[in-house]
Amino acid sequence: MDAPHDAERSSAARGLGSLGLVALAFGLASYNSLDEFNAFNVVNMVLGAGLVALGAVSALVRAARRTSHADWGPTVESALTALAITWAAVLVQLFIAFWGPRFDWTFERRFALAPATTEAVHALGEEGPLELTLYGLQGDPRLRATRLLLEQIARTHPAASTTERDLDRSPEDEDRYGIGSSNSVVLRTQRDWRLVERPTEGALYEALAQLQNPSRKILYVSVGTGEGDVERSEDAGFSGLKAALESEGYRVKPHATAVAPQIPADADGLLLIAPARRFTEAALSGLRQWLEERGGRLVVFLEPGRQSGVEALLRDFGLDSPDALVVDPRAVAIEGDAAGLDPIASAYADHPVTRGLNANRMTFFRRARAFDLRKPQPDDRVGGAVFSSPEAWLHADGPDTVPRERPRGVRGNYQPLVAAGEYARGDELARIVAFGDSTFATNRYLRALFNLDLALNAVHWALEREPAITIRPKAGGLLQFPVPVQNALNALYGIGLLVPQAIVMLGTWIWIRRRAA
Amino acid sequence: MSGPRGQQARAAVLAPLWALMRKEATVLFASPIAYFVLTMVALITSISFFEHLRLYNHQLFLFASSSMGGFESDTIPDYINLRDTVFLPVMEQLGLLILLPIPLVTMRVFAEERSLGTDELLLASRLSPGQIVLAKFAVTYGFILLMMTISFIYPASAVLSGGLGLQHLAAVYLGLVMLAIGIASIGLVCSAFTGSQIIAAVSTVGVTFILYDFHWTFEFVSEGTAGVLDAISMHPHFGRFSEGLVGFANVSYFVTLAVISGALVRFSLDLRRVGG
Repeated sequence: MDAPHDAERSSAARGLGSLGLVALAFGLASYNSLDEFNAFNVVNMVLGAGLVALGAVSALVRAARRTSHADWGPTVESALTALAITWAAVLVQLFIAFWGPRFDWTFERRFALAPATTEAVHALGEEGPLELTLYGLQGDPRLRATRLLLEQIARTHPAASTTERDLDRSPEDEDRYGIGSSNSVVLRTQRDWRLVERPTEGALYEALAQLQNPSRKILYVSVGTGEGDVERSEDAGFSGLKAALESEGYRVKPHATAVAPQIPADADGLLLIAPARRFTEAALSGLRQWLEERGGRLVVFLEPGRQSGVEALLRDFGLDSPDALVVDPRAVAIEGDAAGLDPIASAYADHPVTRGLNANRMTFFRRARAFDLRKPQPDDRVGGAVFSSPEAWLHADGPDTVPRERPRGVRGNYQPLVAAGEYARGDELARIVAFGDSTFATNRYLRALFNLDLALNAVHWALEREPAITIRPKAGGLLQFPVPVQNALNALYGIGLLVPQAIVMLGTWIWIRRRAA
Repeated sequence: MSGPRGQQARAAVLAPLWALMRKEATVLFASPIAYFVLTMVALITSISFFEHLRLYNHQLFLFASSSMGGFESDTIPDYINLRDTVFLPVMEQLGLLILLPIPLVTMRVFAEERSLGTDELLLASRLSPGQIVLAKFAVTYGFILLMMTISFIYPASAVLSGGLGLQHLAAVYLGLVMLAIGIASIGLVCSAFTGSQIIAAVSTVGVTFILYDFHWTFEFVSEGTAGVLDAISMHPHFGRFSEGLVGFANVSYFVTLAVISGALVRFSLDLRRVGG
């Protein structure tokens, strides 16, 4: 074949390929812009793909013709080498895609799962397959983050897997699971499923916890003596605590302790939230009998300034709580309170109730009373679980007279804000966890810092569900910090424009020098 | 290998490699295109980042103003945050922006040699095709790294001046560097298979555009095919960095692209050697 003819063909092949690429690019750009197919983009895409294929085939045929038989060996060897490298690279990529680690570089560690989530996935994964299906509509920007979160969860156990379905293409699933909106997740095990419509890690964890279906223990909540209300959803209510307890496998029932002194026989535990009025002697007697004779499990939230009779009962169990406020100099003043009245605790005893909490995982109390601890019987185990800072002291004259400085002669000390006791009485084992503050578990403060974890873990320990003790997902900040625009503008004029200017000047100088040379 | 003989052998291998890299860098930085590309990318990054930051602050203060309840009142919608309002759109814009200048840099690397006929001299030198690929790829990637580093300076200073850490922004930039390396790899392959710089540049844009995102095909392909297409397209891998999630799988995708490109370019040099 003569050279001019060959060059002509070569040029034609390249031209076809290039025209094809241009047509393809225009077709794809048109489709991406309009998000629909029309004659323009379809014709361009089909024509473009055809021309690219034609150009490629033509180039291959030309190369085959031009190459002499003696050159085939090295050419084939080179082609095989390229192919082998490609395959090896693809295999390595597949391996890494499956096993490769991922690092969370977000400010708020969004993808670092809470221990509670991984533990729940493990527990469910050991029972059988766990499917996490994300239902969404195309173009929903929220799907991106949810997809990554589900992938992260699915990576924690081999039995867990995640898939994605287009909501428009899954009307049956929409009906079956009652999916109401895009960005919904269905978690399915062999025996049950849960729908999560705002899939944050916390919401997914709650669904996972419900799927675990532990034997549901019955927790009675005392009512009728001015206690905190677990049905009330305002800031001062405790409905959040009730919802969290139910999510973690408890059946929460009311018990009117004042009119029914005997604790019900099916009670696995009793929750007392800051009774405002005095209990009847019969009620206190019933409570004592339940603890001592039936191995009762009591979680009690006290409040400074209140004497309901429960304080005296607790004293008999070694949990004396003098009616005085803890003043912690390390606490800042908030919401009109005097400085020091709202301790942020970061000192924890080594106790199951505080498992997972440390100096960086703090709990927040509002006006707490402290405990003075002693063992009623030698074999009893009584101790503080959460402490104030070592500079804290007690102030007995009410919140309005708190001095700015610690009075002379008063020593600072770690004040127990939460105490726990275990009491063997005959064949029974009673457990009590007492909090020196109830506000910390109100709807307003329950999800502040690690309050929810402390409250739930206390109930788990008291009711002998230690494996459920964990640290739960936190509602992460969404990077909603203001970045001062003036600083950014100064940086724009200082560096943002200076750097390009310097490059232009350098390029101009080099270009002029080269021209001169 | 050790001792004087080993050093001599190493020098014999490295000296021509180093010489080729110096020559490539000199040619690159002697061209006004390099400075044009560096300037445009740095300038557009700075302006785009500032504009998004300004918009983010404006929205944030609008919702957090006292009449709306302030920062404590939970009135700021979730979608107004640094990730969704600044990092993600800037990353998407820059991802598309670098699609244009990178082919301008890569188009001449092999195509110019081919059109001038100097590639035959290069192939006849002491350098193996593998070393030629290594030297040219290293210089191109070095330039890409320089370009992205320069464009990183302003966003980093703006974020730091706001009292925030750099880790999330670093993830965003790592994603952009990886994407830039992916585009440059495709550009080098396109440059290696043609003698025309224009064809090399246009085909780089075309191939990258096709490989950028296959999401548009998902409407009419099966789930399995969609999964494969998703795995080979660039955008899903690059997009994850904007979330602040740095995965080996996503980094290795672009490394794999670079390795495959190197193999293809080497193949093109072998073809050239036998007259293909």
